[in-house]
Amino acid sequence: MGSSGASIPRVASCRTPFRLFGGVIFRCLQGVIFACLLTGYFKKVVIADNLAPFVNTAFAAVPASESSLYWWLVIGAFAFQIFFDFAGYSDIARGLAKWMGYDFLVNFDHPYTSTSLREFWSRWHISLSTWFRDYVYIPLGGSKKGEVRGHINMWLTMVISGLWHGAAFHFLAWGAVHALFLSVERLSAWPERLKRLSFGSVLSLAAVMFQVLIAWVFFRAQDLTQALSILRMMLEFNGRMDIPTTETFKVGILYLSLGLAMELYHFSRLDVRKWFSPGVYRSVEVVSVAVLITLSVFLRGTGMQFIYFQF
Amino acid sequence: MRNRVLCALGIAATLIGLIGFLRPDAMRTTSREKWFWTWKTHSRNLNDVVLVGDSRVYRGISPESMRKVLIGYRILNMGYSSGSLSPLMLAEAEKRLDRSGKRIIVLGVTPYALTPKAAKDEHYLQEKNRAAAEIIENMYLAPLLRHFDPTTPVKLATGFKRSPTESKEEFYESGWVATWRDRPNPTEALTSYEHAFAENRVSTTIIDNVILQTGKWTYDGIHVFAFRLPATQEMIQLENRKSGFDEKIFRERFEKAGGSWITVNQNYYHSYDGSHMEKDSAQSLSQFIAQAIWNAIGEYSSFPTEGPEE
Repeated sequence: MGSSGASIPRVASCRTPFRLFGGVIFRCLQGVIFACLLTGYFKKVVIADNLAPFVNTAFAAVPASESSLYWWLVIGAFAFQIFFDFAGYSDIARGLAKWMGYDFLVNFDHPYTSTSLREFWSRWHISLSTWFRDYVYIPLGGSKKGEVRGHINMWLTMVISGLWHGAAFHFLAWGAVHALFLSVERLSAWPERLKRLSFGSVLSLAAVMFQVLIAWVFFRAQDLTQALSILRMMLEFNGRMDIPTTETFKVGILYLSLGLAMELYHFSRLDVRKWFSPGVYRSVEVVSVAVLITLSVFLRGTGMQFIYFQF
Repeated sequence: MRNRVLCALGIAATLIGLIGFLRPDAMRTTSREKWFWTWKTHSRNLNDVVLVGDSRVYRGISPESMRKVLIGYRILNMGYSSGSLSPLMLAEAEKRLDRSGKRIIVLGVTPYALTPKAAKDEHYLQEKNRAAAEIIENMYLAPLLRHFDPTTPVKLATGFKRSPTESKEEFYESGWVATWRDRPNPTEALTSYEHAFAENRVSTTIIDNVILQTGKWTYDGIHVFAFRLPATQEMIQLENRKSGFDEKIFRERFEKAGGSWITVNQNYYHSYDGSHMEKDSAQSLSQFIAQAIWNAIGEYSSFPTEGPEE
């Protein structure tokens, strides 16, 4: 299943165009390829595209609300929108590559289940972060030229990574904010200390999420002024509840909850396979796939372009 | 594994088919709406009567009802959201007229349609400038896919029931959007119109062009009619106060240029938001406008009533 090399001679040996075409088409029905394509499509068109209207409305020129809670929800929605948008795109690409006989690495490995920022960067956009590590951070000397130089190299890498997304101050600020948080993490080793406490990993998870959300504000804002204004509203914790309860908002919250539940399910290490006998589980899987396809048709969002196409 | 995938696909196809064909009509509007605007803008059909104006026109005038009086006439409602009576829209209206037909243009006059902001014709241009692939998709593919229009969990949870204050819409091939609400709110649009005329008053340039074009059309043998779309008294007063529109002067100039002004009794018709006609009123108004046209072009009939049908 999903092995790369064997398919090419098999396809080439087909004697008629029909069999050749049929062979190529039916190859996509192999479990791994089909799963990649289907989950990728679901992540992109159902979750990310349904979060997009809520986020876009909030970031439009006039703020719909000055409630701290509202802005935490908006940034949370954006965090999951960009994650599912790009992870969905990566899954579809992996599925198509597998279909053609190539094996691509996983690009997003549940980044929001990270319990340190360092771990986050080993799970988020793995192809790009690995490239920056191998071609920027390590050539600069990495952490082998002393502690201070290690911090400087890391700051340079993060800032360049920010500028890679666009020549604007808010992208630069996004990279710098991550660099700042990473420096604090290295100096204080807070994740290790926190993990010693009971529920320490849950607290670490929340702390990483807090930092990542703060940084996303700079990434998503139109400019630095808007980013600072949103950040002020978020960090005021003002207790205001003037939240617009439009359908867009309700839909956004529903899909934010779904995204959060999916990541927390992974974090909890629950395994539903244990709840069923193998035979029953196979049937459950078939029905789940059928339901997922049906939901992808009827709950698809507004057909937004992939976010990363702009970078 | 392949058998299980095929089995899943089979179940999914059955589910999609069942849900698609058994779903309530309320869900099927996205494709219909796409088709509606693309068809209105890109259809090459020529017409005997073309109506121009803004959303009060496309919600307030029903070519279907007009055809009860103007039997056999091909009528197009070419109203757009925040649409205008700009030179662009008047030229487009003329293009949609059959030169060998009855040749009637009806201007739906609202103060907003004569402002510089409306003259940007953003909605019309958005539809006009769609890519060829999108036009083909919206016109030919969207109607086939209407059973598979997406929805949201919120709509599913409410059982597709719209709130009584939410507008219900039906899209007609003629360009009319029949609209109504179970619970109308005749003061709703007042606030937005307060803002609509801030630094955006009626343009004398646009009016001058309407008058000039009316003269040219009349000279070319095109019948030009105009009327002020009904709205609530509060709305009419607000527009008269804020927009700089003087109906009396406009009417005098329009008639002098050869156009026929149709006086509409504002009190006969009902608006669901203070600005737009609700479905029944739109149908009555349309018959009244059609009757006025019929009488003016010399083809008399026995339809002299104005006001909602009993």
